[in-house]
Amino acid sequence: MNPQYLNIPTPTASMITGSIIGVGVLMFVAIFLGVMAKRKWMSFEEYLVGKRDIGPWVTGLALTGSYISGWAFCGSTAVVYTVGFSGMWFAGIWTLVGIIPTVWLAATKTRDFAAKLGAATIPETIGRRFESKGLQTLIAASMLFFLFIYSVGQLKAAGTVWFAVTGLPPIWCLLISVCIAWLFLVLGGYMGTQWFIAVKGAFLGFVGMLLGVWALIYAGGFTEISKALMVQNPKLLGLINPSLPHIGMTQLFSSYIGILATPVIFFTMSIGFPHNVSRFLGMKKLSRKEFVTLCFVVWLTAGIPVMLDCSSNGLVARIIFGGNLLANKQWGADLSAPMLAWAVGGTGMLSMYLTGLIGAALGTLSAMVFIMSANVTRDIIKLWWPETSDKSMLYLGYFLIALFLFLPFWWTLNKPPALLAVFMGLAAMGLGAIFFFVTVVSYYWKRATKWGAILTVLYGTAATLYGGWAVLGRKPPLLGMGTMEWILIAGCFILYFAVSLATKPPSKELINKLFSPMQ
Amino acid sequence: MQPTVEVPMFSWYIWGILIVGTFLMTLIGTWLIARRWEK
Repeated sequence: MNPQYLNIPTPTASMITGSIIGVGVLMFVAIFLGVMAKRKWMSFEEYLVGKRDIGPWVTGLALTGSYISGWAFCGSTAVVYTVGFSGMWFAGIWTLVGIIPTVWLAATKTRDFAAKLGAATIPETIGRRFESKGLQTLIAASMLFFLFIYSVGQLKAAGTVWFAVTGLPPIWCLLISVCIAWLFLVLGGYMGTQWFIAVKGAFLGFVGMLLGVWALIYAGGFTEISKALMVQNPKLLGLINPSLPHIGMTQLFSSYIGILATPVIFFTMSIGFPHNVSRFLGMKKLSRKEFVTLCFVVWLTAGIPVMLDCSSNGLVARIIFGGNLLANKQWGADLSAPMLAWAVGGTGMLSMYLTGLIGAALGTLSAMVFIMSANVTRDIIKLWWPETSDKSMLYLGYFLIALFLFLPFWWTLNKPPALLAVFMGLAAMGLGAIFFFVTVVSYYWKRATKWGAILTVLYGTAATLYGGWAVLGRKPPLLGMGTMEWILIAGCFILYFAVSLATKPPSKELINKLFSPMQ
Repeated sequence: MQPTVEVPMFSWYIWGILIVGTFLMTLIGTWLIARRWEK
């Protein structure tokens, strides 16, 4: 440990009390919203999608809340703390390049297509858009697979930080959190999830902005940060760090192929994430003013806070803690964001940050778990056995929500299977590459066909599995993460367009119905 | 993109351009879509 810099503090009574109060309030809000939303649905359909009457503020905040995961809120700062400025490309500086086009391209189209087709989920919307039950099933299975892998690590940062800050074992905090998540998902359905994620999005936006601006002021501004980093290591100020390996994960910081892939990753990931696009399923038909409001809400709450999180916060943490956090073998750089909150704002800011982080993890996980449950009930069972009663579907849904919440919880406390851990790193890229084309491009391109979509899903899934092995599983890696992104995107692009052009499009009646203005 | 040792503020200039650029992107893109909004 270098005594010149601050070190990780020992938990104090006020840190423990503040953290427990913060998380307690979060849990109370979650239960309250779940109970309120229970009154809003009367059927299985309404449980899945609400009444399609949610306005731009709740929708925008919910999009922010589903997109900003525990990783975005915590891990992004850790990346920049570790490698310096060159980490910002992968850590989220391109957030707005993804999330704003998500609103532009997917908001009204998802709402209109789903309403016209009477669909309650994204696989159902796309399956009906291509008149194919097989495609709906395949999309549901693929989403289930990717979301399951991606959900495994969602609680990890929250558990780690909780333990480091309070000294209390994370089991009770996380167990109570997932039990309450189950309760509000079961009680509130889509509406309850949307409301909880929206509250979480607003809180994250506020805490992220406050911490980012406060940290910049605390550090004395940009010039002072640069001077302090120059003293530590001038390489921390470089926008690219060629000394890191050009294959594997570090390609995203060390080579132009990797860095140029990062905006593409963020663009496709945000638009392709089913838990993002699903936020628009229950949205009302927007007026022009409401659409502008939606864009503004997302820009304010997702854009600026994450851009600070993924750049200046990590650098300020570096000048305060030096390399001391890296020297800690137990937690490493994972603690850079919460420790920054403690260093600049004391116990109060730390408690707010920890509450935000647990909310971030729980909100994104809830959004994913709700979709995974509907993938099985609505997109597979109800699709092929339509006589199954809605009551049976609801009860099965409740069980699946519990199962999909429990597994990430279990794997947060116990090491996840090695294969899952490896593929998790590429699941987000795979989801983005596949569903950018299959979902959003299909809203605009009339000539798209089910075969184009089917082959894109199959290729994207296979390429992601190969990428998991070639980039993260194999020692030494065979490919860089950025190269893998180009392979994924190029393959999905070629297959989606070429196969669509070579095969028969959906019926003219359907295309006319879908692509005419909504009455 | 590497002369940070000579110009320590270089990375901040790029960072600032990204912040302002994405703001302008949001503003202009939203305006372009909103002006063609169906009544």
